[in-house]
Amino acid sequence: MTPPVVEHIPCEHVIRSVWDYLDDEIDAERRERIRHHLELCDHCRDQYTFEGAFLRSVSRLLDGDAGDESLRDRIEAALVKHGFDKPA
Amino acid sequence: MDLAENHVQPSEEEFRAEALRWLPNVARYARLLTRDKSDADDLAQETFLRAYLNWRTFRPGSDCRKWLFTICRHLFLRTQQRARRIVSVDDPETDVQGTAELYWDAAASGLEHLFDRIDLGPAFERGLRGMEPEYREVVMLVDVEDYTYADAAETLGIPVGTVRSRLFRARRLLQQTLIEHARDIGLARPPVTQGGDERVLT
Repeated sequence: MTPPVVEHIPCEHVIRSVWDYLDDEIDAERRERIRHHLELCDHCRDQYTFEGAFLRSVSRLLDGDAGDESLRDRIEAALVKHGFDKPA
Repeated sequence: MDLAENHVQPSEEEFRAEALRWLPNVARYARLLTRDKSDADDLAQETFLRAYLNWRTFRPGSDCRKWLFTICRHLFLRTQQRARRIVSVDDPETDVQGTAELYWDAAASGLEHLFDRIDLGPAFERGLRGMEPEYREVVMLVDVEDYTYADAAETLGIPVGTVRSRLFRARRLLQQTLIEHARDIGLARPPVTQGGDERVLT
């Protein structure tokens, strides 16, 4: 039985799809072709690594920017005026 | 009109379990939209109040976070009372080319590991502040809340292709700001001007 042939795709197409690939917004066949290309191509793999690190830093930096307890208290106080703590 | 007379109130327990659990996410989204902590807190409060008073419109079992984001966004847009229309300059081709150029530029300056190396918080804030809300909110939904492009499109009421192009542009703008920041603080090495560093694309 012969192994499946992964069709070659050019670097340009890989770079065009690198964020779709990182975001998992790509169909399985294209994903496999890109994965295969990244295994073989240092240049594209370097850019893929760069973009992946960027996305992780975006997620990390924004993730901490959330509401604090005083905001929660304030919202609950506003809700109480509309019956929040009364039996439904 | 008494706002409370025309709605079905959820129990405190139900509202906590379904809606208030998403407070950090809504607060973050509001912060990103308004770019001001005080305005963001007001917007988050108004969002939960509207959600509570309009609980009848929430479908049990559906995605409450998405519903809250939609309320939050509508309230924000209303307060903005924006008459302006976004002139779309979204061009995927330009964005793809720009993305590649940015990376090559960073790599040529020794900044390919930039995002793992330094505290980028202030520069990141600056990049976000300089961006239109339309761009910030796709970053928020996709990169922080892990929305699919389709879910972000539904929440924002725009086509998936527009989500994609805004997201790519927003990321590019952020990368640009971060790379400039790295240069400003002296992290970059002078770019290579002689041959020998040319990429060979397969």
